[in-house]
Amino acid sequence: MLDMDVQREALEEALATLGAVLQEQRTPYELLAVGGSGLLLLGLINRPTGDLDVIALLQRGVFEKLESLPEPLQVAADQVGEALGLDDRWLNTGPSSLMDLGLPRGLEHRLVTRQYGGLCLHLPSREDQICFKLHAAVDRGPDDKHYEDLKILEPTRDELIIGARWTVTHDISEGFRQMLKECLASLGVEVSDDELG
Amino acid sequence: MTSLDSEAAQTLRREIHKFYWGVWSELGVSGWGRTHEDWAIDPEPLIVFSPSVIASEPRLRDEVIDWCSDNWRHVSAVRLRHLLNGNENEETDAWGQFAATVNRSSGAAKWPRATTERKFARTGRSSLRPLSERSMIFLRMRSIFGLSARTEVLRYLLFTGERSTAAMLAAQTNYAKRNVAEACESLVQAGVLQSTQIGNRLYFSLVDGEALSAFLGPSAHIRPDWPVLLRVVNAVFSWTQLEKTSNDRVVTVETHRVFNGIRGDLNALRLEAPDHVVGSQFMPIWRNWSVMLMRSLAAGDLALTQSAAPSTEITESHPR
Repeated sequence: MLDMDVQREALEEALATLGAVLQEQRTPYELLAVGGSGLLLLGLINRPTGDLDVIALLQRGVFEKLESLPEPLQVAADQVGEALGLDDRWLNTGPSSLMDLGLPRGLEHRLVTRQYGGLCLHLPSREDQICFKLHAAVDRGPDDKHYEDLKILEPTRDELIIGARWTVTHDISEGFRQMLKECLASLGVEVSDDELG
Repeated sequence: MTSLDSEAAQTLRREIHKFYWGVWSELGVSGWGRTHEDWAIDPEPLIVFSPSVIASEPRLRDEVIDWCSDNWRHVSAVRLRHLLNGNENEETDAWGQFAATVNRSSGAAKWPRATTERKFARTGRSSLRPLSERSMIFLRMRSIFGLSARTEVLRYLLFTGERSTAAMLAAQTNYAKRNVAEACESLVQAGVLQSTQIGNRLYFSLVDGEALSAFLGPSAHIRPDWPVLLRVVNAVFSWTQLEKTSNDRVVTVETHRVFNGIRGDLNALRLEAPDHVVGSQFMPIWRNWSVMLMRSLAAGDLALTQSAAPSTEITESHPR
């Protein structure tokens, strides 16, 4: 567990530093974060992660898709990255297309919130992370880190089916549906088309 | 102890004020003792970069305004404007007030970006040091050749021994490229400069630098790229203002930002940079390095801070 602690400690330090800078500049942000770093912060995985994926900005109570980081946030993130020796894209909006077709229903009620000074980070719960990871695992295949993350989360059959139903709303192609079934089968879950909705 | 360490900040401010005192004293500002006799003083960068620092040293500020009020005719308003354009950090409220006060006090100067003058009474203590002194070589050249791009071109080519295009000279002398090109052309016609075509570029160099040097008389040996050096000094000074920031993490980020902002300048000046380690571990390294650098600059002694370099003195930097 030592590696996990070190990784999580480094990420927490980066976020605390970014939050302090944002607070100093009086430019607070509330962000929705997904991906491996989100899982690391929740203590659900222990693999190294070099970046934090943020997909939405909370404005007036609504999560709005982030195509790119707002300039003050990008500048602050760059400064923190330089100071702490982080990757250039340690805070990025890479998977924000997840927002295009909607988040899992009720996600906002299950969020875990962490406050770092001027930075408020909303992290999807384990069951919502299963939705995201299942989508990414099908998309990227069984050799990808997302598939490994999904296995580490040890999802139940019901959780996988809920996740699967959400993923098919994001990719309606027959090819995706076939790969989804294969992915679920590799996790020990056989599903019918009816169950996928 | 916070990562800033207010004792270090105070020491730095004191040393930076001493540095500005020492350099201004070479021009004739009334001060104590002399520390920069072997430094060739370039007035416009000194004037542009001073206000943000000497605002917190009222006696020096008043003596500098006094000197500028008397000697503004030796100063190029064109260079002041170009330097302000290239160093936006210096175009502060302090500059606007400083320029306005000099304009009003002199009764004739028209320094750029002036705002509202402050209440000021002439001290009458500062004067222009004899131009025959080594540190006054740049002002001596102006007295001989005039206050113009021509003089700055000769100065640059003489003290770097390099050949340069008009564009390179414009960047180094803080005059417009057109003025520099005209100056070069007339100096070529006079046989003082020679031009060499390399590719599609025209390079200028002195025909006989030794003769020009002998004609000009004694010169100080330390001739830094003043805007670059003063950017470094003022960046360190701005860092001391972080004392008002209570959050150590913010201070750490800002310290890295300040350092990243000057690392290119340190390289250009051939000054030894601190080991840039990540995170808060950099803080004691930065403190020690900056205090050592500012102490040696304040003393007019660069031997402590120069890295191993081909030259034994700081010279103006430019591409060969």
